[in-house]
Amino acid sequence: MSTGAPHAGALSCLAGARILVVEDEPFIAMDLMLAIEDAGGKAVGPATSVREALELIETQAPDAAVLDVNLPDGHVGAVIEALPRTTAIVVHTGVGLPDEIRAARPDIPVFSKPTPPIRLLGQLAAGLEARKRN
Amino acid sequence: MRRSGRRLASTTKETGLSAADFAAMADNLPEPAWMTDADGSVVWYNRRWYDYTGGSFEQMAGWGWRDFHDPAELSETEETWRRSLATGKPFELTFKLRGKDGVLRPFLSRAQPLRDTSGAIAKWFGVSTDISALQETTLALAGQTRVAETLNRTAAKVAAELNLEQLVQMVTDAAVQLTGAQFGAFFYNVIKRGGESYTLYSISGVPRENFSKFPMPRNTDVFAPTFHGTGIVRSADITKDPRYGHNTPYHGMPEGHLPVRSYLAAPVMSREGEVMGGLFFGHSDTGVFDEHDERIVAGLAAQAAIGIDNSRLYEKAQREIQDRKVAEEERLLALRELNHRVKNLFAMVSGMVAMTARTSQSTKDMAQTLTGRLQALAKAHDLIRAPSSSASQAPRATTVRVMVESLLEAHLLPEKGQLQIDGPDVPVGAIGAAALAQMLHELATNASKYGALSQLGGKLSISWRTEGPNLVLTWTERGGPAVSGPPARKGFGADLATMTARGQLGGDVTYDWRPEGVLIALRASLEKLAA
Repeated sequence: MSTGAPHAGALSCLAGARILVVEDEPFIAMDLMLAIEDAGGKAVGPATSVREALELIETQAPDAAVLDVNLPDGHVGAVIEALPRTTAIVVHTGVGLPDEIRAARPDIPVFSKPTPPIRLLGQLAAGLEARKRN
Repeated sequence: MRRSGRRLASTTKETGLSAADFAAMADNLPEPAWMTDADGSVVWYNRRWYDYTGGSFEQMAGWGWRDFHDPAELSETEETWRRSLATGKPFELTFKLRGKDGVLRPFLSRAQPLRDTSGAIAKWFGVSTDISALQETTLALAGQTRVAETLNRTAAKVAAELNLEQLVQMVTDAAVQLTGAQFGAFFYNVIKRGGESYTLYSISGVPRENFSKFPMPRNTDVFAPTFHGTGIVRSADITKDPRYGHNTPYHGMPEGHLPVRSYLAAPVMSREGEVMGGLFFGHSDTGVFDEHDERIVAGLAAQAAIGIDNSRLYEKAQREIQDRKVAEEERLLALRELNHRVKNLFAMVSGMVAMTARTSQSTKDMAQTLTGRLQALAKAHDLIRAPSSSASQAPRATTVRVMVESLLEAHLLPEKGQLQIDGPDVPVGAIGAAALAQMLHELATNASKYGALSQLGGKLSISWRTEGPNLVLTWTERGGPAVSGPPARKGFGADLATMTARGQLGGDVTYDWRPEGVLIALRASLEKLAA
């Protein structure tokens, strides 16, 4: 069984993309990881803390990222800063992005938890597509 | 009967009195009376005049009366008198006359001209009335009015004043002013927020430094009636009072204390009879305070009591409003927190459903797994849920032991001694509980599918200890199916346990696949666990 198999066409540009998952809730993280693999991407993580996320950015250089906001060792601001501007990012949160980050990065789409992984990945795919065109 | 002149004759016809009767009457008037000629020279005084002044006719005849007046008033008296003589208008003036005892007393003097048959003034007849009693009464009344006004003013101010310090100062000042005390003090008890009480004082009439070097008055014989609220103490000379000077170390007033002879003290008591403080007044002279002062102080003490009561009520009301505000803020905060938890829970459950769907072979299998996971969450929630009777909705803490017992219960086979638990009390908070519950549930599910809880005779031992900032929990399985090594495919349960340990519990989990059974070591941050 699977929750809504990704639409092959819409997510095609995720194929081969390294997508970082930063999420401390295991069920959500695992579901996202599997959804990424389903779409042909390479799931990186999951990072369950800011510290782990920074390590993975350093070693794996992800092309895209799905980010939770509140993590056990702080909020995700440092992770967003560490990601190159070329990285496609979506934020998946129960609390929303802190005002200062939102003001600094109005380009980052924010989704309220729970949002189905396919929608988050669809947004990332669109972001990667736009970057490819530029 | 002797008749002299028509006017008198006609009068006697009406009254039946003789001229001698009238002469006797004038002589015996209870107030001093006098008669002058048309020019204003005194020609006659009645007996009361001689009795009062002690003078002789020779001394006082004509204008000789001037020696018996107050020199300060004399010119005004003479002027007024001459004006009447000139105009013929009745004379009226209040002036002081010296008695034979040397005392000047106020008299209200009135004189009328007596006219002859032609209408010309022949004589003046005057009577002077001693008004010293009236004047004393008037003065006393004015004094009383002043007292009443001051009392009223103080009462109004006290009623409007909610600041305790200013209120007691006001009362002390008013009392000093009204009693003529040299100085006064108001010692009063203040109850702090915690219920602890202490004594403050206000001083009037002298600088505060005169008292600040002395200890607070104690419950000695002299002070006891005031501090116990038994009544007012008034003494013309407190140093002669039998209650005075019995206490060490000073045996009376401490050295350097303002000298007190006249003493007046009143308790200040609340409606409930609680002694809230005492008013104390002193003077270095003896016999300064009278009954009147005592009544004034009693009245002021009553006003002070009402004022202090009001001020306390006001403060209490303010505190209550503040407390309610704080409680309301806390409630809103708790509500926001609860909203968060519910939202997170939905997110988590939706992930749980998706994940369970991915790893299930059939809908029946999925339903079973999902129900187990949801029940574990529900148990965690039950354990940390605030009791419904509690006003605060903040979650309470539970312990590792309670969680282990509660989460493992559903997985045990009906066999005694299958589970052994050992460890100290370690607190677990709301967030920690959800994570630990998931973790224990996944480990227990694995044990009951493949490990020591899957067959009779299997044993599971769970023990824990604290190690620095961490909890170290050891999960030891024995007597289950033989273990041949790590499972070929790492199950989702194990991933879940690892992620939970790392992310939410700030630790890790390690597996040792021993042939007799798996040994799992969980390390979790005590801080995260208690969160």
